[in-house]
Amino acid sequence: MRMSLKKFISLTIILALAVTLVTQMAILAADNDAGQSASTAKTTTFLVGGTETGTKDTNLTTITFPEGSPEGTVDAPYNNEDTDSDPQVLSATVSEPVAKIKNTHASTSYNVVLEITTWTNSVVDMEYYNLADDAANDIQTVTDELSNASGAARTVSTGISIAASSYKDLYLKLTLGSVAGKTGTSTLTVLGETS
Amino acid sequence: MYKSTILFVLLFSLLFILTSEALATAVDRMSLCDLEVFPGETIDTEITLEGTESEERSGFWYTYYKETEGDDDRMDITSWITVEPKDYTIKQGEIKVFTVKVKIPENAEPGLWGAISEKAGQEGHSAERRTYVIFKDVIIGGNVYSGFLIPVSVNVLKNPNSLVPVFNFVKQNIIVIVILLAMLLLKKNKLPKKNLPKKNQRKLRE
Repeated sequence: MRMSLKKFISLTIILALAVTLVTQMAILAADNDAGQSASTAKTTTFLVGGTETGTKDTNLTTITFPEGSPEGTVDAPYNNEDTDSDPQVLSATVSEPVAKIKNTHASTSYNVVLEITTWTNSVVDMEYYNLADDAANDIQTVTDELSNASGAARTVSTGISIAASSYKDLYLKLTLGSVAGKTGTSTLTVLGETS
Repeated sequence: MYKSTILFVLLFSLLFILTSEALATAVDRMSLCDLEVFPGETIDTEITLEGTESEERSGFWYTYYKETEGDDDRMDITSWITVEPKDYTIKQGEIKVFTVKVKIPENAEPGLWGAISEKAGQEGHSAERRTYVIFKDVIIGGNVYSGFLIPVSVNVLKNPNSLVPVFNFVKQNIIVIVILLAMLLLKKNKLPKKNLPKKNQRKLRE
């Protein structure tokens, strides 16, 4: 039963090789696990508020465009906080937006992306927006397209960002379709995105 | 004493006013980029929303592909992504957990999908993003939503070759293997002498 030195060395080498192989397999199996990396900083969505000192930090529920003639332009919408007595105004000196968008985050600026759903009943031909600086009072035109043709849904990266704890002014305008005596609806979404 | 009490009350009221500002919905992730996964696998990531507004909000999740001229078919991976649950309502102080599931097709080629750069999740790289998950919500009954775009990109890894461990083992133990082979060869060379018939052994000696 005595083991020769050669046999002993051979067995030791084989055992070492076997242990190494098992270890390698285990390491490779661990490598197969899917890893992931993601940011975890907490952020808040934009606050879409009224236009006055007392309403700009209150979330809006609705924006309403008053009735207009078929194929006409409607540029005096109002929000439910400021009511129809305080609609949007386009003017060289006293312009006023339909809503203010606030970035509520304390330290990060976010890009603004606007989105609308398709207007129902074909009442709208095109919708437009203007995202102006806070408290600018010389806004006379609203020309950037917010909808596709025939008031169809669209998502628009505005290319504008809002600094932490700051506001931007949102102006909206519609050109109506040719149908008469109809009411249509759509939803507006103000989305944030890290720059 | 009376004055200091009034001062304390005033300061306390000011604190309350400063912290009672209306917000919207808070989220704990701003990007889900460079998720590393093998073809055929599904990766689940949790995202938490927190209600911060006094009024209850109702919302939902969806996917979005930011179509850009010159994009190839690696950029739109919206069909790989689902969020569960999709719809939600959230009140002030309420925390809701959602699972973003990304299922990689079996035939997905290795490399980056859903963005044009591995830096897409970082600040200052918004132009490099293509695929997103979005949540948006609104005060119940309203038509003005607010929400957030969360970019998603996946780094599909090469399927591991079953022979890789063997190759690695040989590479890392090449010296030991050579010694072992040498020993075996030496041993083998000695064997024929013993096993040869006596005639041949004699011839060999001559």
